[in-house]
Amino acid sequence: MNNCEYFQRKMSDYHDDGRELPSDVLRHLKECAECSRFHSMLLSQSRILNNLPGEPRPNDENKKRTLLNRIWDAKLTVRLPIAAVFLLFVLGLYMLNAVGQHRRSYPDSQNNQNTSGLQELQVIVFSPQTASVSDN
Amino acid sequence: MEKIYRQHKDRLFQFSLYLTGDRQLSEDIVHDTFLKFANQGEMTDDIVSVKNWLFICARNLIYNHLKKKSIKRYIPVQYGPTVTAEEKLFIEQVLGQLLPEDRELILLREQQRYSVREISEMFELSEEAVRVRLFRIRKKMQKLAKE
Repeated sequence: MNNCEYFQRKMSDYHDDGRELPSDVLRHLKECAECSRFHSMLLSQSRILNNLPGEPRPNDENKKRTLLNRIWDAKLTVRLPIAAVFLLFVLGLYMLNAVGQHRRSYPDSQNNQNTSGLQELQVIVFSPQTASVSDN
Repeated sequence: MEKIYRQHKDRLFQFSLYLTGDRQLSEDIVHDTFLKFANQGEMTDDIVSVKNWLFICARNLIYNHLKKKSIKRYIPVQYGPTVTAEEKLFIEQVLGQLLPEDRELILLREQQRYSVREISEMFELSEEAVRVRLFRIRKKMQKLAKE
C-alpha cells in the first residue's frame, strides 16, 4: 500500500465511523492533490447518496391497504387450518370421552334390564300360578 | 405489523429501487418481503433486528430476480422532477455502473445509514472485510466519475 492509498483508506474508515479526520491525514491533504480529490469525491458522493429521493409510489394509500389486507389474509391462511385441526382434535377428544362415559355407566344396567326382562317374561309365561289360573 | 410496515416500507422501496432500477419490481419486492414477514407468524418474536431481517429478505428476493433474469447491471430509474442534474449524472454514470453486490453495500452504508458493524452482522463478515470492500467500491466510484 503506497502512502496515498494508506491515507485514502484512513479517510474512508474515518468517514464510515463518522469521526473527524486525524491531524496526519489533514496535513497530507494539504500537500496531496490526488488525496484531496478523493476526499472531495467521498464527501460529495456520500451527500448525493444520502439525499437520493425515495420516489413515492403512485396510489400509495391504496397499495398499503391492499397489502395490509393481503398480509391479514396470509395470516388467516396459516392460522385457519391450524385452528380447524385443533377444533377437530378437541371435538374428537370430547366425543371419545362422552362415549367412554356412556359405556362405563350403561352396559351393566342394560344387561340387567335385559336379564330382568327375560326373567319377567319367563315368570309370566312359565309361572306355575299363571298356568294354574289359566287352567282354571 | 402496521407499525413495522409504516416504519420500513419507504426505506425498503428506496433500497430496492436504486438496486434494481425498476419501480414495479421494487413495489413487488416490498410487498413480498412483508408477506414473508407476516408468514413468519409467531416466529417474528424471535427476530433480533426486524430492520435487518427485512433488508436481508428484500435483498435475497432481488438477487433471485436478478439471477432469474440474468441481469448483471441495473435498468436506469425513471426519474421524477425531484432529481437534480447532478444526482441524475451520478446515478447513471457511477451507481448504475457498479455491480449489484457493490451497489448494495454502498447503498446500505450511505443511503440507509447502516454502520459498518451492522453490515458486518448482516453479511456475516468481519468489520475489516466490510471496510476494505467499502474502500474498494469508493475507488471504483471515483474512477467511474472521472470517465
